[in-house]
Amino acid sequence: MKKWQSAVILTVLAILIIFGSVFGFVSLDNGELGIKDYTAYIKNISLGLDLSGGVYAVYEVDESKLTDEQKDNLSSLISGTMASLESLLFSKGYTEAQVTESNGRIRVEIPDEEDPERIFNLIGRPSSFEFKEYVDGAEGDLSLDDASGKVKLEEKFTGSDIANAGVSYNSESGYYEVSLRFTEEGTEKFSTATSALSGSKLSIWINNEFVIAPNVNSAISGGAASISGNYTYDQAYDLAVRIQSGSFPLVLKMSESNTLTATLGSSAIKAGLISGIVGLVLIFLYMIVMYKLMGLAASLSLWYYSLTYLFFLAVFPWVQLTLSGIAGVLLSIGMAVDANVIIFERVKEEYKSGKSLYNAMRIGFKRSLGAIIDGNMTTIIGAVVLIIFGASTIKSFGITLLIGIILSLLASLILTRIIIKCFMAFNTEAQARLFGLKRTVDDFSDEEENAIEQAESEKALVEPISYGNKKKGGARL
Amino acid sequence: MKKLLNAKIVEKHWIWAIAPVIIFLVAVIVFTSFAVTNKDVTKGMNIGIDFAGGSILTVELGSDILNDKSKYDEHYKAIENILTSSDIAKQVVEIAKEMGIEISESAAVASISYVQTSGSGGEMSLVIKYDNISSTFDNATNDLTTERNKLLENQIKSYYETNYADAGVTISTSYIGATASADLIKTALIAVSVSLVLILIYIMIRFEVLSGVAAIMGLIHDVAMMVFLVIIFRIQVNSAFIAALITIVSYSINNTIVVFDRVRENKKKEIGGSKSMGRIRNAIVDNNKIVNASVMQTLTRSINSTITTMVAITLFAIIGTASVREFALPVIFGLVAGFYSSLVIAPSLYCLMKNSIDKRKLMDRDGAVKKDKPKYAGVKN
Repeated sequence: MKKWQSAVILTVLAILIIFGSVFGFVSLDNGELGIKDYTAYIKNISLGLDLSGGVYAVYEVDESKLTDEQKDNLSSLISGTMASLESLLFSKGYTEAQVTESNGRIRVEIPDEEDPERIFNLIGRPSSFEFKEYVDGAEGDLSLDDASGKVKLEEKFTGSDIANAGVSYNSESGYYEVSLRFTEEGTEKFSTATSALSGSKLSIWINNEFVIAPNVNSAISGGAASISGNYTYDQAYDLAVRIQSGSFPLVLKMSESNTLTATLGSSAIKAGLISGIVGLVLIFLYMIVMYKLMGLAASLSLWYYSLTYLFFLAVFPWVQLTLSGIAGVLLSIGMAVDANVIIFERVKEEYKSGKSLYNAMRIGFKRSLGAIIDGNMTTIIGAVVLIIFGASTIKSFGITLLIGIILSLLASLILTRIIIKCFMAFNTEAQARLFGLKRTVDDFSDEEENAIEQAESEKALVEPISYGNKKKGGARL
Repeated sequence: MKKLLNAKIVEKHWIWAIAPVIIFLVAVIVFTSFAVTNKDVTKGMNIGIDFAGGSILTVELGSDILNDKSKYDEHYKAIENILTSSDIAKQVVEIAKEMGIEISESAAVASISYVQTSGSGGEMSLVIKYDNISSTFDNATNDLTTERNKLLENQIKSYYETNYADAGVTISTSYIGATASADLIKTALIAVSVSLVLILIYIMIRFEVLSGVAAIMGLIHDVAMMVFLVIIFRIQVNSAFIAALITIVSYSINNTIVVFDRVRENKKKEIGGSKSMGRIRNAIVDNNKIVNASVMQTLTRSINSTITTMVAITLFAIIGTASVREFALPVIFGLVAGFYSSLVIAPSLYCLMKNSIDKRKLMDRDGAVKKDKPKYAGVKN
């Protein structure tokens, strides 16, 4: 490589690193440098519930209430329930909420929320949802069912006939209302029912519990209805949630719930950031002391690696940084430098055995490839297994791990090499010391081997022996 | 240097076994003594709430109160009194009757399993963990526990409202059933065993069958050491610990691979000529000499890598909060165990197995052609 080429490459790298650092860590507010709102990409990394704080709940399907038909297509019913849950949470303003499923259990996570207990309690409650004709004095009377003959509705109206339930404000009355939207099938049923009941009262039952009996003023055929009962916002909201959760295809039971404070997360992030940066600096110093210019090259590519890693963590939508994820990132910094340590040790060894600086470098990189690839392949296997078998948090840890390994391989095998080549363009053979290389020929290095090695170094076919003198080896043991 | 390269490592396998055995014995002693004093096998380990199921009460009191011994005691006593009060237990028994469940009053009392402070400054909290009414999962007792927790929370809230109205103390409870954790352990076990098998297959293909077996045994050693040390230091076993185990399973094999890679290369060199893996696998060489040299050649690298990997995670453990430490400490244990196993355990096991197989091969060959003498004297041990 020529000197000017090296200079160009190093300059480009330096610019990339500076830009990366600035974009990664510096946020610009209105007007500064004429740039409007830019958020440092490190802040865009989505955080797991344990770091962001929030609440989660795990629901199980109440199997005692399953019909045979439901048991047969449970998985489609579960995904149906999840979809309803998602739309329920979304419509109630929890846009960050996540609904995931593992082994037949549904997990709901709502980040940055301290007390959505109301919604969790309500989700846990629903079992069924019905419209019936209202008979005076029958509130709470469970004996009033189809068999008693008091219900005139021809077709049973259930929760699955409701597409959505929401809260709306009636500016005339000054009260809130619950607005309902029906499915196609539901629209038809509701229209028949209301035309039959026109002028009398309709009763709504959730969980076989009487909830409310609105008047039916006229037949409703438009696919939408609203329940007005002089509600406050909270009352209307609760009723809407109850109606909508009654429309889940499955009956859910809460098996676990937890509130995580954000304090814990923010202190963990702070600790992670500090130990990451201090750790990086210590590793830089250590590498530069141990391997001089080679160490500097490794440090540069390690910094570059860290910036890219954080960038990918911010960009990939399926990454969620958790507490174990932070530790994974911290470990990966050390692991990323590991490949370079393997290479540099090898280069040192090769140089010691008498090779030229250039050849020692080339062969060092080449011969350490096997160990690096094999070592990282096993870690990749581990990460892929985590992604396939793990539930939400373990899965995202696996993804974090996988991105880290691939990037660290690119950084240590390609980037470090390019930087070292650039450095070498400015250095002559005599300056090998700058790379931390010494040619102290110990008595165990095989000079005969070295002679052959040098003759054939271009082909690099002969492997050096460096663990002991072949001829005398047996005697020493 | 000469002496170092000819160091006898794999020959001393009994010495290398001492440290793991001592750790194992200490762990057994700690485990049994805790199990016996508490009259409960599950108390041998400090099993976290994720696994045992339970409820957590967090009372944000601030560091001014929590760092002052007498104030801390006062608050803790008050909360403990409410948690273990027989009034609430009686109410719970009543609720249970309405639900059609028969439970005794003593079963309804919340028994405290773990107390710690967490956070810092004004947000420092007292975290109290207590048992659920039943550790087996069914909907009825699940509901009952939730009801009991509500009673407890309200009682504690009203205690703080009457006695410390101005302090603005935040109180929250959370509840974890036992099944969710059984699920987590199951997936984790599947994940760990599947990755062990796949890693074994990979090493068997790229190296030798015995390297694979030795590497996996080294890995099992690492995981076992993590478990033992966690028992000894009474670190909480929770889902973070499972994540730590998995981290070590995927990272720690790296060191062993580097050593076996050097063994493969040195062996290739020793037999010369063809480099096919088949020939390398079947060649009979002085295993001890080659493995010892390989370990010594990769020693600097192993030390350097372990140092660079440890730096950041150790800092994390030092400046992090209690929950960070619960995760980071087992990882550090695993890294140290991994360093040890890759240097001495896996290589020694490999030589032990390889030597006995080679010995049999040589005996077979000697039996067939009596003139041939065993090529290496070192194989005889």
